[in-house]
Amino acid sequence: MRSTWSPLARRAPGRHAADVVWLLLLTTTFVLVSAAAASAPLVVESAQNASVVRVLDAFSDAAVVRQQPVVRVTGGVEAPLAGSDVDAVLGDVPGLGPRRVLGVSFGDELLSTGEQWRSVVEPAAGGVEPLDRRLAAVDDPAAALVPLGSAGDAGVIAGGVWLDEAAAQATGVAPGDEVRVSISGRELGGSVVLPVAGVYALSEDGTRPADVEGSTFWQDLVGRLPQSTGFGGVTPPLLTDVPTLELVAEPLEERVLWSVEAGLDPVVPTLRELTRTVRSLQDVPRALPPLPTVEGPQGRFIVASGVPGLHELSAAIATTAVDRTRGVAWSSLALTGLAVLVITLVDDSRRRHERRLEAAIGLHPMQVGGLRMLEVVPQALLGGAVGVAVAWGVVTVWGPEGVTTDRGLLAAVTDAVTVLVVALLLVGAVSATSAWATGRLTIGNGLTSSPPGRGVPWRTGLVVAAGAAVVGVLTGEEAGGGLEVVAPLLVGAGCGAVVAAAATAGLRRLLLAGGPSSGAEARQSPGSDARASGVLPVGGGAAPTAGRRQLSPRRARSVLALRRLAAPGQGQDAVVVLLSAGLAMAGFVALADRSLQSSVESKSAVLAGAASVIEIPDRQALALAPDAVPRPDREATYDLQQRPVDLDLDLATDIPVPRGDTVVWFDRVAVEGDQQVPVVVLDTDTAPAALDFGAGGGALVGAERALARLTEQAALRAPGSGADPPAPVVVVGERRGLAVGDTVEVRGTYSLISVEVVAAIPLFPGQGAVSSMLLADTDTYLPALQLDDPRYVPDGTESPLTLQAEYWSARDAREAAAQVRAAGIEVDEVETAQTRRLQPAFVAAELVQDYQLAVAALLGVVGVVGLSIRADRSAVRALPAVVVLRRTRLGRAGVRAGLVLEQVGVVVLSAVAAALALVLLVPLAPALLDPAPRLLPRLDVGAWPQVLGLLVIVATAVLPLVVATVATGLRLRGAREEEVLRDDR
Amino acid sequence: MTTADTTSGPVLRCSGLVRIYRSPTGETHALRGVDAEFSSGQLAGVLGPSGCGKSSLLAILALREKADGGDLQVLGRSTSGLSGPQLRAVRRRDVSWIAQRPSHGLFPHLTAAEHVALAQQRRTGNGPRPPRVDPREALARVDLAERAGSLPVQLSGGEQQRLAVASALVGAPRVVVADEPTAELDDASAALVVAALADAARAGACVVVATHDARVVHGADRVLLMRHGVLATDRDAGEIDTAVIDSAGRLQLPVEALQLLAGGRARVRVLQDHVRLEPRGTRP
Repeated sequence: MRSTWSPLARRAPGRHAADVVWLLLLTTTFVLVSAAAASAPLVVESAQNASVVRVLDAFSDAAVVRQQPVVRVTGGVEAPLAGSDVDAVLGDVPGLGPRRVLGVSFGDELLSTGEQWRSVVEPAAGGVEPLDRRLAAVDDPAAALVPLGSAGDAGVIAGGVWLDEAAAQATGVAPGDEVRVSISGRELGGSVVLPVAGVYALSEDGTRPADVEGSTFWQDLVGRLPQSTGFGGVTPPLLTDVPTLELVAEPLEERVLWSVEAGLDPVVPTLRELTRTVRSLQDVPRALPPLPTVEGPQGRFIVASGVPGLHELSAAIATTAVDRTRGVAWSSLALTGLAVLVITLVDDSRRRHERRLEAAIGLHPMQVGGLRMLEVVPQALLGGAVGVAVAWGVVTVWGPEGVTTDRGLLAAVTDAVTVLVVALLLVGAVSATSAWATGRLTIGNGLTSSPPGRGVPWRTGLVVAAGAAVVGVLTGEEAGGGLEVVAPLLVGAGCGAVVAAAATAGLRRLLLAGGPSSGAEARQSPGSDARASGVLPVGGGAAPTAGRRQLSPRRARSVLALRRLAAPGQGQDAVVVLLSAGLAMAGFVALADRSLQSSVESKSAVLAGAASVIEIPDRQALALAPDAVPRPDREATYDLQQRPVDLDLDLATDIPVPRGDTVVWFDRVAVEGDQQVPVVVLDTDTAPAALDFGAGGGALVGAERALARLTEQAALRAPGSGADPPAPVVVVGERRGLAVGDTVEVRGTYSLISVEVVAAIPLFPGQGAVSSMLLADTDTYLPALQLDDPRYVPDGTESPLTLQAEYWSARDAREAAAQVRAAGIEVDEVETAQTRRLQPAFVAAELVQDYQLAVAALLGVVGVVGLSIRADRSAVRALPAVVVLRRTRLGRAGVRAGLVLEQVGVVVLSAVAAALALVLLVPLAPALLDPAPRLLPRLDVGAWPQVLGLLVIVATAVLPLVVATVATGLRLRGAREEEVLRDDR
Repeated sequence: MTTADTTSGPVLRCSGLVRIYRSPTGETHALRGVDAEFSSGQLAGVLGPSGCGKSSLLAILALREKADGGDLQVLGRSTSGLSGPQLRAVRRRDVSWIAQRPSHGLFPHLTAAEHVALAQQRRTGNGPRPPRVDPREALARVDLAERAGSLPVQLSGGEQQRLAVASALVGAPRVVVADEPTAELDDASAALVVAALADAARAGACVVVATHDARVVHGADRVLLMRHGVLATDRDAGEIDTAVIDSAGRLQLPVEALQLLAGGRARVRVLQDHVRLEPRGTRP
């Protein structure tokens, strides 16, 4: 059997070589298929790795170890860990960077003596009050410090200590001098005299050594450097090297806490490697040796790391992103598969004579299918390679910020090859089916009639599918799963089908009204090549009629274009559908891009409240206010019935904070009907600068206005401005029966406060998932708590604290944490807007958003290819007209203009359909796009995104028009008269 | 099929072939019951005005289309019961089709020699293998030996049609059906085509040609005239016209006879050994 068609098989791979336009269209189609297939695994890997990057970025300045991307093993009180088994164990963990050893004198805390040991330093010669300085050691102090004065020039003294600039100034010592280090606060223990190796510069806040340029060594240790020996805050350490600290610890009888820590190696931050690191970390505690010399809780190593938590978060984000990516990928694959189907059908249609000849010589349909597959193999190979390269380039340049590795590239190539094979099989299957239909011996079979499938009601099916997608969107729970791509695509395609059908019907009606010899008559002879080519319609009907008015060239062009637009059977509807789907997708993605960005910012602001939020432990807030007013004596301010005595009390004042920071108090009260609602009490003087109101002009505009109103009302009613005015409050979220202007009493745990509602708004920063809350001002709400005002310095007789405090700051986490720590408040965790934004749904939506943009672009190109195919076919069918009309006034240019006008018509129809689709999609946008519907506020599509979407549709429509015009020109230019007349093309 | 004894009966036998084209505006009855037989070694020309059903008849004879009614037997076997593989086998080995438009019978990406080679290969089936033909020799018969390496697009219209004929005749097909093969050719090319078809008939093929071309008519062994979807006359070479009476008893008269029978009515007299038609006013 093979020998039967060997000449055909041998020539098949070069079958399309002579037809440059078709060759380009075919190759482009396979480029799209390959790019769609290859991009999915690349985006998946990139998104997975981007989730790691984003998480690490968000937590890189985390203030506590359990949020930082480091692993720290603490223990080894008796001996340093450097070079020990611990170091080796950590060295076996993949993905960790260089290890560093830190030793800090920690004897008092370790032994829990409560004797307030202090390591102090003074000049060896004495004469100066000893300074509290923790003894600490790192591997190479000289490399980690910024030397001051001439220390750097003088060289480093081995075995010496480094003093911070403040200590050097206070003690008057210089490099080369000697200092005495001793332990105060206990009788035992001696002292040692050590040379001063150097004086180091301090960081801006004066709590730690300044980092050498390009290094974050000390910055990374923020939160891990202990408080001063006097526990009065963080002071810079008295630094030496590891051997020296080991050496002096014994005569000092000081206990040194040694730790080894290593950060993640940032070179290749991939999720796969992070997973490997986390798995390996799980074995670290078991692999560590015991500490036989130390008993009690200090007798074991403590492994602390933020890596597992960061990995868990990264994995959650990656999983969500991958789920969303798969949906988008399948959609793009489906559409590019449709493009393959379209181009195969068009090719089959343009080669109907060849198909009949193949049937006439008895070729088996499978042989025909095989031949068609062979014919496109070169284009598939070339397009496949280009597609993978395009996908890799696009994902690398415009995709998620995560890296793509060789593994991802291999997966991309594998997927591309698989999909290309499927595409080739599709080509073969469609061609074989067509050949089978053509070769059947039936009445009016394919040898003389239309190809199969013409009667399939695909337009109706498309509209039904679009309707089903819309119903799916409206009844679905959350966005994602690809519906955000499928629905706009189907709605765009459905609108395209409706608009195309309506336009065709309208044009036919118009042409019918224009004369008896119109398009309807022309349609009766689908086999007439001359009519299809546009020769006859120019004259105005089935045959030029004597006495009929002669058309001007300009009018003839228009008539030519209109008649061809109104004529069925040219794949016009399919092209309008394809193009409108692509344009609608482009417009919708532009709209989605804007809306999603704004929504994420607003949701993030509502979640977080401020850039950095630190929860302040009970009653420690006043550590921030050294001048806080003491709590007045209860007996002096209340009578026997516990009614307040009218005394001139010292009023509690707000806690002083730097600009950009504020202290927020949280209360809980019962409003009417005993409904418990939280009360957020803000210092309206400092809050506006600290709060995060999201994107400008976003959903929190009302919140800013309400805060201004609260500030204004609070100023009018502050204590001293009148007798017992009700505290102004703003109702946020559900009204709970409260209306603006209402004055009600709210009941706290120990209070009954009269409040007046001055504004009602739907959302406020920091609201989180709370459906309803009250906003109040510190100066009007807290005084109503009277002696329970949390701003009074407690005296031990107050009520149990009911108000919680948080430190909100517009600054980054480290700065905010440093501010709080400087007051001696322990910072357990810092929540930042950035970390709040690490909701898997948010990040996944952002990561996949770029992919959606790329897919929209891909769909646009599919539309371009579709229109180009149509333009090419139109041009081919018009070739006889070009030849015939060459000597008429219309001529080649006129025919070309008519064809271009025709493409303009198709593009305009498609753009109108896409715009219609966009209008229909706007109400669906929240359901389609909202990445986290349960988080407030719900996504809202503003006016600007809608306008932007429409603009994108118009702008995008220009591209296919240009390409189609070029394709038409190429086809017409390449036509030779004799070939056209012989129907060789 | 190929094992049928072609000398024992007609190669093609049509019985009451009916072909109706349906369109939104109504039905067109292209064939109204055609009965005919075509034998091997005979070049039959089918004549008739445009729209009389020539192409429809040839499409059915070439197994390109099925009749709405009636039956076609090829080499003694009814085509209505052919399975797909059987149909392909008949098309591949026994029936050749030559289209009116040369390009419709050629593959644009095969050279002339490859067309001949392809035709040679497709004739080699399960049956007796025809003698292998040198492509150049086959092309030389239609004066295309020098164009063996040319693609169809590099050939003139006449050359293309000659190539199509050469390809169709390679491998000695039993049936050759040609639909106006000389319609778009110059005299020289047309003469070559007619000669090639006549040679094929002389070699034993059953050649049926629809034509308006007098050269084909002169070279034909038999001429069938079609009118209004039925065979009107059937004339063998050197014989007088024979009117055809179809299975329903319908008879089409020659134009000169119709002139004698003005008014559309005739008196029929069945005599002992013949039938007499007379104008209605004629006295017996």
